[in-house]
Amino acid sequence: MRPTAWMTNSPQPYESVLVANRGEIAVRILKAVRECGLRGIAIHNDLDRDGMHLEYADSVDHLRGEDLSSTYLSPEAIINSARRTGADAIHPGYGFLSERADFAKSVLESGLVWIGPPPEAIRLMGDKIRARESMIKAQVPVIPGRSISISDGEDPLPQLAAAAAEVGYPLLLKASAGGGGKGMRVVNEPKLLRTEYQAASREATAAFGNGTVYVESLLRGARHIEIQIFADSHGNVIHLNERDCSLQRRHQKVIEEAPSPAVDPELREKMGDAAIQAARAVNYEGAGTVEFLLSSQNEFYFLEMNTRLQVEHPVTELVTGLDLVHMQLMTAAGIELQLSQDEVSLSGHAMEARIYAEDPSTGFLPSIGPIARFDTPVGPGVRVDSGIRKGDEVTTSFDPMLAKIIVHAPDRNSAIQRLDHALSETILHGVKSNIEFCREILNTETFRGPGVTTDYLEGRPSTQSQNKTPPGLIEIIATAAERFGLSKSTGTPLGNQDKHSGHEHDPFTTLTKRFP
Amino acid sequence: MKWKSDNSDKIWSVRLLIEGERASVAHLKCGDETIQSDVTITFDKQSGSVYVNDDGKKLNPKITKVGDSWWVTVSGQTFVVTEALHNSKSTTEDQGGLTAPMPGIVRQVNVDTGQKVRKGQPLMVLEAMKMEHQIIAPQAGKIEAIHYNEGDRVEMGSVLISIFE
Repeated sequence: MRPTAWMTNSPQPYESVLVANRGEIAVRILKAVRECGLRGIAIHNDLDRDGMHLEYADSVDHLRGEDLSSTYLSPEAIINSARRTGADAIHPGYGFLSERADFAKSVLESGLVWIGPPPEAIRLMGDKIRARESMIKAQVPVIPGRSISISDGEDPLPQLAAAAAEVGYPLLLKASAGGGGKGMRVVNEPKLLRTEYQAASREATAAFGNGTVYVESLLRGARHIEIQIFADSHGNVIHLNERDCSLQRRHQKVIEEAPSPAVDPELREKMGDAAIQAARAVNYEGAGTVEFLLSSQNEFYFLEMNTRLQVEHPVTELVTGLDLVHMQLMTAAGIELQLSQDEVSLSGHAMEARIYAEDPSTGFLPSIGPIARFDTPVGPGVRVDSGIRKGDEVTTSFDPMLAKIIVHAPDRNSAIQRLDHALSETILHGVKSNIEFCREILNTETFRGPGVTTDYLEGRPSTQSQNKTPPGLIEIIATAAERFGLSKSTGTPLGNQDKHSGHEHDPFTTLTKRFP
Repeated sequence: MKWKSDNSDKIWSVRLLIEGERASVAHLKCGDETIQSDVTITFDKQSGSVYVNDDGKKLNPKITKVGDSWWVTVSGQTFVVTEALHNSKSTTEDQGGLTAPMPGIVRQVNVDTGQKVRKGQPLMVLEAMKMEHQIIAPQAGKIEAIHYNEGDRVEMGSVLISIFE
């Protein structure tokens, strides 16, 4: 494809993009890169030779090694790969190195285009205490809290008690360098303060190499509302409305939607302005997300800023009609934003369900296995962002988030209905998933009514619903499948395919498989 | 055939009556309890799909063989059932789950459930492509289950008889 005219005429044109990621997000970005007429470069390691994302690249580079630290998580390996493949730019995706300021800095120092925010903005927002201070300065509301500074060997209790007296119970101890629920502890009463502090600090040291913890008031019954912002290198910052990601389990989002059932136009404007303030305070560029907690009294507080594209970005794309990856590519080329705040639309309702390889019947433990079948839904207002296909194997080496089913409909009720139906058409065999669980949630009165708060899934039984089929039906179907010889016409288990025959229905394969 | 599902300890035993591309339930047991079922199944050779008729209600289950198990999605629920060949932990190779070496028709059944057999004893006669094939006991043991009756059609690899050592 020909490169787009905007790229050719941009202040900082580039021709090829290395996507330093894998799975669904690498597929998503590589597609956008190629749509813009640029050369897409994919990477993989020893365990990922058949990754689906490689199908969407013009060049593929192998990073030697099995562990993430020497491949997907190694700044050096990735920059070397960019040199080898002649890449002009690097897009980090989400996770992995996307929020590592030192990596962004090395990319820029190597003379490559960095498709992400400035390293200093990443650094500032990555340190929760400094981010909080910048937000206070920028007059963005923050959750009542206090930082403490405990030196080695010092008894933490006096400082903790003073901070607790100020913020009140229940409180939250939070790692300064944290994220993903690590180094986070709820304290309900004073006598647990010291032990919980020690636990949080230990966890934070192990996970982030930094044991600094701060004290924050715990908001119960709050919603997780985040504002998507976008900034260019010309000083323009706009927000692209909110997403409601209140449905979480252990700080992991499951269902996201836009707009939020709890946000009206007035609140949207206030939160949008606050998010723009936050982005301006750190001289932000590109796509970013400012996360807030919204209390039951409709007061919102800054939680953190994610300095990258988010997993749930498609719901914003569907209600605004924008392509965020496309916009990232333009911004990195030095092009001004193509729309003003007044031109940002909010049309209909979008909702996303994340398909995780996890087993609800075992308390959501990650599950592994072959992708023996993966039927995805199609239809009006249905989008699938996936990183797996039939024949792939889900292992413990990579993230259990396999795909996202996203829908767009005129209003919230029809979006719920559409997502429920799209999930009913999503058939994943070979590995256990949360598909049925998502549908169960979509059909609860609470979700269909006002929507949920972040503690909704806590204490909810993780067992799947009762078997609703007639007694013995599954066994009857399985017997019929055997008797009609369906095993030869449906999925073939991985590892049983005879390499040299090259055909999964090869009779000799069947013979060796069945007659030991 | 006997099945164990991943979310229950119960063993289901099913025998189907196959007429052309239509199957009805000849025998359905959950543990020791016999259950009446009017479910019929139609097989569409062209598409490789099966359809369930449950008292006038049509269902279109999605089924996939994964290893030794069948993954079945029906009415929005997904189940995994595995053939309960045997109570012992032994593998298919030594526990005597005798499988059909070819697709065909069961011509003769020479033994009964519970009967003791000696190694080498003929258990069943299978006919395919106008040739007869003897199913021989690979070891001495007790017949635990006979999964097909005379006249039944069997697919290659179907487990015919289970022997308990």
